[in-house]
Amino acid sequence: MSADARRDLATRQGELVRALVAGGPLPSGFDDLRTSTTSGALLRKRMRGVERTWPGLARGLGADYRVYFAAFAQAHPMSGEGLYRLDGRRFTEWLLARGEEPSDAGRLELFLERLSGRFAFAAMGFPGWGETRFGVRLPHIGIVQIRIPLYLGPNRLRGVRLEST
Amino acid sequence: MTTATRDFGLGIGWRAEIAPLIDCHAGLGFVEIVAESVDPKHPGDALLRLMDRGVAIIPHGISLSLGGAEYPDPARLERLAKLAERFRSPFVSEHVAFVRAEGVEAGHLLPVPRDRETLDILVENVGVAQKSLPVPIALENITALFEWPSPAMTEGAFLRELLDRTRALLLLDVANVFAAAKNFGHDPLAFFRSLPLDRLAYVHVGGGEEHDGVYHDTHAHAVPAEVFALVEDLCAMTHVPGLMLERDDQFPEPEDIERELATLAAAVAAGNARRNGVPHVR
Repeated sequence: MSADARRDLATRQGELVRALVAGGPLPSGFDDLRTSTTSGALLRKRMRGVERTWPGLARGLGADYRVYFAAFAQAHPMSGEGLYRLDGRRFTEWLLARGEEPSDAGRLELFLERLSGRFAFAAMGFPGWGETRFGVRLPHIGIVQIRIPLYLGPNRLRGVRLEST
Repeated sequence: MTTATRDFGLGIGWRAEIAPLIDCHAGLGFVEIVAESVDPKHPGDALLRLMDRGVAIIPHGISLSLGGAEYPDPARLERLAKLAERFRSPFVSEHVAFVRAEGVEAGHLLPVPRDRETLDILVENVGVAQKSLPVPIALENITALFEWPSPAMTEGAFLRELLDRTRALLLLDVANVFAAAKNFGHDPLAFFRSLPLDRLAYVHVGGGEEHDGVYHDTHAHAVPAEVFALVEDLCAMTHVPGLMLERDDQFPEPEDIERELATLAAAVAAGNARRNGVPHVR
């Protein structure tokens, strides 16, 4: 098999995938309506996958979840491993960076996700619950958490955001 | 006609949400696990119990992207191989599809262009997979809402040549055949006849729903009656070694799943009776 044939296929498939999930132009010859129906189905599947993996986050956003996620998804096509876990993490961080406040249940999911690395450390404030958690994942032991009954915002926690993942 | 594998009877796609139902169901001959969601080192008690009971466990990959431009990823292949070894699986399965290109994940199975160049790449990728797997691989037909422009081959001819050249087994998704018939007007029985049915390993049956005149294969809705009718037609045509229900989301009550399994069994019995020329009362 020539490397040229593989390069050619990569280009054709790359154009199609970007058209389907990243708002790229549709390559010629494809049916407009059928491919846009496919785009919608792919977005719904992704949205549902993240919702199932990050239920607290999605529930906290209510009807806005779909609006925010659709906006996030086109600009951030999926890549890499552990698709919905990683996708939900990027989505939550995207929300935080925009100043949107995820619910405490969503924050908890992000906190635990940040602790999923092998030697991870994370700190997170939960305004609704009025508490702050510090967590570390230790080999052979798992996640160890300390809770303090006081909400510390991101500015106060900046110095302790050392998670290695 | 000889068959490629032993008989497995009825099966179901193993999902954590329906694990208790599967655990309590004595009539299942096999389950299929999603390779990406089961850790070969820590498969969990539920699956090990099934294995002890003699239920065959078939690892099913969804992210190998055999129809992609890249060679299959060694880490994904190793995981499939480890699962097959852990569960002493008779074979593993994957799709005739690609799921990523140039670093972007589609998040679902996409159809490949049906031309000679792509077929050659697929054959080569399947060969790479076969070299690192301890058991045979079965390849599944997918469904899509669109087609690549000006295909050089029919889907049946494309699949047949792929299976002939790789000697891979066939995993036939009857619901996908139904979707293609509904969305593109393809003739499902002609499609069955165009396939090398002597290489049939097992069959997928799943549900879907219609949206604005387009049939979506969702695995989250009931199996349409027409799909069960196609199962009967297929069983009337050839001996089918195993058939399984696929349900991935919006899990219904256990009784509804039991009912679908019973309907599936009835369709198989009716088809087998037609094939054997036995009058069959449903």
